[in-house]
Amino acid sequence: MQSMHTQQQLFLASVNEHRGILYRLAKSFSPDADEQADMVQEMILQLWHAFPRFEGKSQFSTWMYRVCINTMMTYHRRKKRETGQMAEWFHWTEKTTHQPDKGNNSIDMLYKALYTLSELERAIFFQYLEGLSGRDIALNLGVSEGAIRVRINRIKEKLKKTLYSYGYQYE
Amino acid sequence: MDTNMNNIEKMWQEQATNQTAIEPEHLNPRETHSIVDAVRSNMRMEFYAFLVTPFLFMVPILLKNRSGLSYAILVITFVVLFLVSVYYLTRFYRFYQSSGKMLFNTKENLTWFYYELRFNMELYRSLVYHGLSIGFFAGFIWGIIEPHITKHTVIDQLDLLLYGIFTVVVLLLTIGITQFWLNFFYGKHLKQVKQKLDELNVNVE
Repeated sequence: MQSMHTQQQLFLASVNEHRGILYRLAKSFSPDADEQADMVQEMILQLWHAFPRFEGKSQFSTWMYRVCINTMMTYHRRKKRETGQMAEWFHWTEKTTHQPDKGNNSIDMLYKALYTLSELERAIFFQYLEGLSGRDIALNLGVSEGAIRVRINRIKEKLKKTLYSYGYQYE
Repeated sequence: MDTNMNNIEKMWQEQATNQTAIEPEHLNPRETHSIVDAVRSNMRMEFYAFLVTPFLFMVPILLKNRSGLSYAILVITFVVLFLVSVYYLTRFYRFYQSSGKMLFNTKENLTWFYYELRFNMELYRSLVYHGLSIGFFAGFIWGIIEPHITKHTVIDQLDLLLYGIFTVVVLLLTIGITQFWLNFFYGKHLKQVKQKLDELNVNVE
């Protein structure tokens, strides 16, 4: 049996190797730096709590995606409950009135386009962009692989329109 | 700018992301909870201790052997003090209740707790110093002004110099005790919460 210290060391080494996932996922879900920090913290805690149950049957990064995506979905549901309708309205206003800043680079444009998607769509497309297979995305979200394929195509269409409205030509 | 899906995927994979390392401190919310629990335990004790305070402010009103003018001033003074202390206790109690329902595993919640605690400490200082000022004002009327009007002889032997010395001594004692009280019950924990916040301050792009 591993000591607590060894387990912690192993966990930190594994998470740090893939820490970019945490930051990219947080950024995909919120443009706000403070909220991103909260999300990262929440994902780290959930990963740490779930770590004793990680059996090594899949790659650490695959397991990490699953835990993090579920954490983010739960985080958003809880946030919605806590902040209520008014905050949602503000969020909606921010989304619909948001204009991309001039001079922003392409990756910022893409993030801005992602914020116009629903949480589920964002979770799907984030995993798609990270290079996860349709099967893994379906497993992580508990839906069928076919449904994921259809969703990805729809999201691509949506993003095409959004990016086009930002001045990008999407072929 | 032309772009296609392949470009987008490439752009995504090549993006510069935050590389702030995850440290052991990020795994210790229990420690944070124990700090918050310690603060809440002190708050609970203080709340019961202060529950009698508003009623103590009402006691001087029962002493009716004063002239009409000074008695009226006293009543107004102590009713104001009573209401202010009730406001303070109500707010204090709400803070205590809210902090009990919260999970302190996010920076947002911990920041909220930190600033609420600081605010309540300042509110407490404000209550004590204002109460003291009002108390001195009432004491001045009672001890110095009124005896000259009514020829009453409770403390009319006191002269202004003695009253001044007494005022300074009580003022210094009260400030000292208030500072000690706040530091003893909350100061150390406030610093610990601040330290936790600094540790959680993961820089994100």
